[in-house]
Amino acid sequence: MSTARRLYAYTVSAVSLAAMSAGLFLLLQLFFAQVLSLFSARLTTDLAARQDGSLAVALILVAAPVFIIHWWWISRSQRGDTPAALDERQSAVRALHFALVQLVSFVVALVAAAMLLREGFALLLDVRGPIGDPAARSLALLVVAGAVWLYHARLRATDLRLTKMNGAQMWLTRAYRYGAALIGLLTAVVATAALVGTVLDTIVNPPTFASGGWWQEPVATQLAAAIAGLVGWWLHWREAQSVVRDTELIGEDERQARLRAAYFAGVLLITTAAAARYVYEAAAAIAAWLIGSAELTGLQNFATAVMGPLVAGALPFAIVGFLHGRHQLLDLGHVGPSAVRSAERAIAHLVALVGLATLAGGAWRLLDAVLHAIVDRPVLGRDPLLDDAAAGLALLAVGAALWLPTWLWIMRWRAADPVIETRAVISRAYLYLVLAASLIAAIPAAAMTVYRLINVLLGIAGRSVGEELATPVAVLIVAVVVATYHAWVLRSGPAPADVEELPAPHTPSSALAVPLMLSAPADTDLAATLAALRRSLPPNVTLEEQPG
Amino acid sequence: MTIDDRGGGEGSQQAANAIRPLLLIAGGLIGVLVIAAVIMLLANRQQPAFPADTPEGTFQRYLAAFDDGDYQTAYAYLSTTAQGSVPYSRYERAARDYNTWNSGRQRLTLDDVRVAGERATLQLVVREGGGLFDGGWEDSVSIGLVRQQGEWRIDQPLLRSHPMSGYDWDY
Repeated sequence: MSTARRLYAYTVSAVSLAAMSAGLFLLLQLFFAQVLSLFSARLTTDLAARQDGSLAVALILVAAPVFIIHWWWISRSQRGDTPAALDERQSAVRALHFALVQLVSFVVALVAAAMLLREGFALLLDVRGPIGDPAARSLALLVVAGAVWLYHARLRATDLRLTKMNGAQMWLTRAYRYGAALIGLLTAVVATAALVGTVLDTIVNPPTFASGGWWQEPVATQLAAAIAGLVGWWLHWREAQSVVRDTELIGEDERQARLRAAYFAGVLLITTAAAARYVYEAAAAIAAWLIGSAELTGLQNFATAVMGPLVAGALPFAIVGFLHGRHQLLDLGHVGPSAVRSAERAIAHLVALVGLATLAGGAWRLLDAVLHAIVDRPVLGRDPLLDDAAAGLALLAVGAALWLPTWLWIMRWRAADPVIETRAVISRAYLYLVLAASLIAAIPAAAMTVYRLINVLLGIAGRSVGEELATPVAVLIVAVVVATYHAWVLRSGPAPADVEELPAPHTPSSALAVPLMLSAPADTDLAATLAALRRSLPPNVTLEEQPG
Repeated sequence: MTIDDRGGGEGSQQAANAIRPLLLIAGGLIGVLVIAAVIMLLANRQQPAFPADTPEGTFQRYLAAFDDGDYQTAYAYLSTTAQGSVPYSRYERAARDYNTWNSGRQRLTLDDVRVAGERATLQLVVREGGGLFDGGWEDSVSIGLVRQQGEWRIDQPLLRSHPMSGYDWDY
């Protein structure tokens, strides 16, 4: 099929599928509402319902034939082992169609599942509210979106195992798989953290006769989202693991795929940053108590300010991050030591990045408070700079705890193996990113310093020199220190002339190429011959035709 | 995590030698910052306590009570005229709302005190905001006090340094 025809076929299929699904949803919603009304004594036979039914039938009658015809045409063109069928299954347009349809249906199904579970838990926990229309709507959405997702997921899984893929087709399929897994995982973790927080709150603030059962509705919602997210993540993770197991069939080692590595990196970055944020919250509360600007006495205050962020906030994220990091290292242990070292390097640099950002932020806030304390006049009443100093101390402590040990680890690797460690992409990317961020912070800070100095010299500043300059100078000092140190680390690596040529690491992106010429009698089916050759190739080896 | 110690004994010694200065620099910088912060905190940035029988001393004690959430004590520092214009229940409600919704970033410094017989006026400078791009704002506020039964009292209902009329919609 030509690209133009393919674009036409898949676009019309997607649009007609959406219309048909909308019709099925409306019809099913009515059906389930009628069934559930038997339990809740509410009937939905009013005019609006009858109009919904008419619309549903109309959508199905019009869209279904269009979808069936175009999808039959597409299915026919990709059936079998002919070159045209292979070409169809390997097309990027098909990959994009599947990725988009699966993404939309997955998100809809995820939301619907969470809403339906919420209704169920609300019923169990005796939350006041009607059971009927919302449950009917969620159930109908889940059935339709779930069926669309399942059908397309099965088809795509078959495509992958029948046809060797690389390039955009594989990238799009992987991007959807790991993107959806991340969506499910984050939904589950955030909801679990909120649920633990609600449980902790219930223990610390037990419900009284006056406050009633305030916790039922949040628990119903959070538990529903956690379960729906977990199932969503597990479905995609299971598929990813089955692709790892079917390496020989698929022709590419999924464990070494960059998108898989990006997924792990994304999870680690998000969970480390989230855990650091909650630990900072607890540390800031302790620091504020130490300087006398907050109360921590009593179980309620302590639980809300310290235990809550640690147990309900940091712990779920830390556990998820740790489990993912450990799984990645165990996974790559089957590939080889250099793959494990690459993963360790990535993990260490990501954690160091979060730690450095927190440390720099803390240093800035503390320095800002110190400079203001030196130049500002004494205040009447409460001084907000004390809160700034407490926050700065907390950030500094959390950042130092993350950055110092991780950076020492990295520096030990650099000292023990300077050539490999300084050439590593993640190592150079980290250093250049930190340098860039420091300069981006330093430039406006320097500009504001000069601007306010000029205001003071012209006598148009509203406040004293010190008060005007304290904040930009604090930013400038921290940015310059961070930039100077990391520039020194960058330059202290081995000079380019001292670096020996290393053998290219074994990854899917670096390949040896051998030009070949295939000759055959004129009546030979070259396309079929090429297809047969491709099927016999070992994993990670591809055969491509050169033009001309 | 594992460490692949490829350099052997000599490499490890070199690694340790390279790391030591880093330890000292990083630890030193962080230590300096922490010590500076502690010194700043211990240096008592707040204004020294004024005598209780002065207008500024009265306002200082009113402010301390308001910041601590002791609204009954803060209300007691208002004059009889000010108390007559707003009952305690409404004052307490407005004060709680003020402390809930305001950022707590306000800095008050005493600029001037003028006493004329049984009346006094405090000139305060109120500063709020201020950051890298935001210069913050600054304003002057006058607080009127009156001497009643030998003690100074604030002659209008205030929510910290703000007249209550600007914050309490029922007032």
